[in-house]
Amino acid sequence: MSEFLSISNIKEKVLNKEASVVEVLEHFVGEIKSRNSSINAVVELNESAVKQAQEADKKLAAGEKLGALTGIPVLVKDLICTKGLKTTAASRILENFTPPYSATLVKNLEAAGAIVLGKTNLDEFAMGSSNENSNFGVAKNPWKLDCVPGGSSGGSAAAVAAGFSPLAIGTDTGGSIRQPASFCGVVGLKPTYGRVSRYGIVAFASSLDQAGPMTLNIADAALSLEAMAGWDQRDATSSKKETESWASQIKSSLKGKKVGLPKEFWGEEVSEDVRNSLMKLVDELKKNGVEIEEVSLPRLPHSIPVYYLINSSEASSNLARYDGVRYGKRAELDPKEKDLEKLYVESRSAGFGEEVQRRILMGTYSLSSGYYDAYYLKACQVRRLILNDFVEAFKKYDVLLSPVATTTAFGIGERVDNPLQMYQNDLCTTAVNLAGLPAISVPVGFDNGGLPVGAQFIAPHFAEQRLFDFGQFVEDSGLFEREVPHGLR
Amino acid sequence: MNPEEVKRIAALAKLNPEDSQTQKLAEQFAGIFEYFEQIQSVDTEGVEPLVTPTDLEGALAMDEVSEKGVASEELLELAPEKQGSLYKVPPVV
Repeated sequence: MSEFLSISNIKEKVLNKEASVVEVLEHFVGEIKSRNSSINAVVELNESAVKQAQEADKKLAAGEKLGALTGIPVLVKDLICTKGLKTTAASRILENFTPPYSATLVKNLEAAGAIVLGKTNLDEFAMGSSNENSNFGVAKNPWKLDCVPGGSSGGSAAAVAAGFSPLAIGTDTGGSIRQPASFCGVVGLKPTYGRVSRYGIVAFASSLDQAGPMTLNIADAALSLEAMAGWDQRDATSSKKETESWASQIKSSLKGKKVGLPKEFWGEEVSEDVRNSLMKLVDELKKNGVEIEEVSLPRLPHSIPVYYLINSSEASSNLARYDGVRYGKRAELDPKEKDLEKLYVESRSAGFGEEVQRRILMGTYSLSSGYYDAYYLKACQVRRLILNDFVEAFKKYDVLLSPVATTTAFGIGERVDNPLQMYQNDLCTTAVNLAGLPAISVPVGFDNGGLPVGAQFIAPHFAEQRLFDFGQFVEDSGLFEREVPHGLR
Repeated sequence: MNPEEVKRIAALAKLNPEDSQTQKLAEQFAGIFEYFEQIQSVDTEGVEPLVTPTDLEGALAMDEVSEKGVASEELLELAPEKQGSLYKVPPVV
């Protein structure tokens, strides 16, 4: 079998009886077993996957009605609960946690026939942009093994890029699907807030978190979203908007469409290589009858402080649940010193890594008496102004186009000692989460060192179809030709 | 921000960073919050804070049990220490 089997390739092979579901699964397990040791993308394999594959083959043989993802392997970020399969959030505090239930999105994927192949690496509790804050150690970028895969869904992106699975699920709080997708040269979709249920996803910042698919192509992303999405009574913020047949409605003819380039995302921070790749796409779009112009969203430059104030505030509240009492790691205390306060403090201090503690402290400070109005409340007000800027821009434009990240993948260890610089890397992605908008990262070329560059399209709430249409245009343009990542050659 | 302030906040968050960390954190926070200060220049007079980004049309549910949840025994199995059907913690009185 070829190294890059997409969902549609697999469906075709299985339906034409060129391969059984078990054979497909064995192919991916084989890829993981032979090459994951150099990438560190997959942190656990699901032992019961083979049994599910055998059952899928039986259903196929019996001519039963099949789900849209029958027999398709899926890797799940280790932040998302999978019943009976360890879910650790890449944290010491959850290193032995096996959830007694699955996240709704996992149940939805399984109901469509997908088979959970295993779990992927991430930054602890999804806090990071490089996958370097992980209890499993850093995942590597398949294109260049001494570079980060991005984060926080670094393992999911690296796994798809390396051909370990046609589909991996990530979560995106401030760019955690799109930025690693960009760094690893895969498609990454952050759906509209509320499109996919958050039930069973380890909570980081509840008003920003959203799960989405990471795939080799646009059609696969659309098909996967169809399976994952939908209202869930267990998530009060999930939307009742109908799930659409996005995959079958993709149109790559964009004549007459209008695209805005938010100039605040195209500043001098954007590297020359990234800019050049994006400008080639702009030229292609123009050649095909798309109107493109620069637009200003004046509050976007504030999105990083607003994002980090809100995410740390919500995180400090969400992570209060880890107390060493009901689940997770409990610190061993000297019998003479046993008291409840000490149990909390010691369990949390030993269980959380450095970046997680930093965020909890930042959030606690922003919410604390005397600072609440100046930080958290003010951030929420500016957040509304950022949303208003987008709403205004979408009166004129179908989508907005920008880089995903200001640079391509950076070297492992290069930015670990400077959290502020790491945060500023998220310039083009965080505003999208603040506004709850859908956005997609599509590979659009390579930099001079052979590392992938991603383009980001942003659409109005619930207009994912536009993202698939524009993404398909990029895919068809041939600006990015998929090849075996250099690190794996 | 100074190391004493970091310790005060850490106590609120039930964390206990080591002394060597406290100094480093204080320096990092000073830089980070100085950068965050930029939002004070935005005019937000009369702006309603946005706490969740989309309309919550699915938020209300009937007050009835419609689906079976996870059994309490299964949840209790996850506890580091338990006694009977209760979570066990160090004495508080």
